[in-house]
Amino acid sequence: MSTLDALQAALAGEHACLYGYGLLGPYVSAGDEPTVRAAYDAHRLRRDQLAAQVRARSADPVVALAAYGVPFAVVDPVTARRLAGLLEQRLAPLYADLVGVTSNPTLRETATRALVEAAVRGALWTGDTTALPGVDPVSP
Amino acid sequence: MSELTQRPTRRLVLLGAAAASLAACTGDDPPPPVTEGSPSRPEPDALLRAGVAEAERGLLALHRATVRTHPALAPLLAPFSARHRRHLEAVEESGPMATRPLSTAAPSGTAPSESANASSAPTASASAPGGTPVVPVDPAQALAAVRIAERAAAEARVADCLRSEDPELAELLAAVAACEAAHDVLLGTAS
Repeated sequence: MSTLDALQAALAGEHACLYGYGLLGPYVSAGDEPTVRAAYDAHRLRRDQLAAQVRARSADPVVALAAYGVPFAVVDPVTARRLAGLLEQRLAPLYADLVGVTSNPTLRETATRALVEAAVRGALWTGDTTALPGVDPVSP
Repeated sequence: MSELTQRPTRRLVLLGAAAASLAACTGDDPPPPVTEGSPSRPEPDALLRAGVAEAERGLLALHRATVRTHPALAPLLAPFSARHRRHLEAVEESGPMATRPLSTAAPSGTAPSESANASSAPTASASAPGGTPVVPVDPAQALAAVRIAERAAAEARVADCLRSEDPELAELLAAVAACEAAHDVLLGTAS
């Protein structure tokens, strides 16, 4: 995998994450709303960073789809949290891949911090973590 | 349980078509290829591994000391300790390890030349001068001390990740950092 491939994969993941948070946002409890908002903003920032990195490599950033399938219906705060946890767990490996392929120190740091953030939010939503987020397989 | 056994096939369709890119890089895929096949792995990574292993042993020592002082915390800390043991194993298996550690988490003020009997010391934030972890008598404070050590470890692993010459080691250390940062928030919600 090239750095550009990893960047595009992470960008596609961020698009999916933003869609997912947009979908689940209306269902979270009032107490979770600030966390969802902060997560959404953080993902948007990462999306823009990744798109800029893709452009800097003279490529076109992958665009978001109009809609994404989700593996279960989000109908209440519990399923909303579950989807949020899954989004983060699914995103983490994309950043781990990026850390593992890039030789650019700045990009490595960006990807590492994004992986850490995904693991932290994943832990907040699920109440658990794997030993190696982004490397261990996801078990929803 | 049936829920868990049902899902693996379905999770591949998570987020539909675009998840092709999501799913393609998750789950059972092999790790990214090693970008270089240099036969002589540079010494700095061997030192880095030794430092990380030392830091993980330090965290494990802190967990053990905490449980010894507060046996009621044992069930809570057990999965956290297990994850640190996995970190230690993964780092040990990731490549050659120097005998003399050089880690961001090494006790500060310890000159390399006199590090021999300090090599088993836990992380600086949780160690007494003698290398024995200090455990507060109040359980909440003891947990807070573990939390502080986890947070410091996460930051140290990020720094180690950035210093790593081998991208695969960098990826492993980023994942360790991610777990330890997650430990910080999980212990925060547990207390």
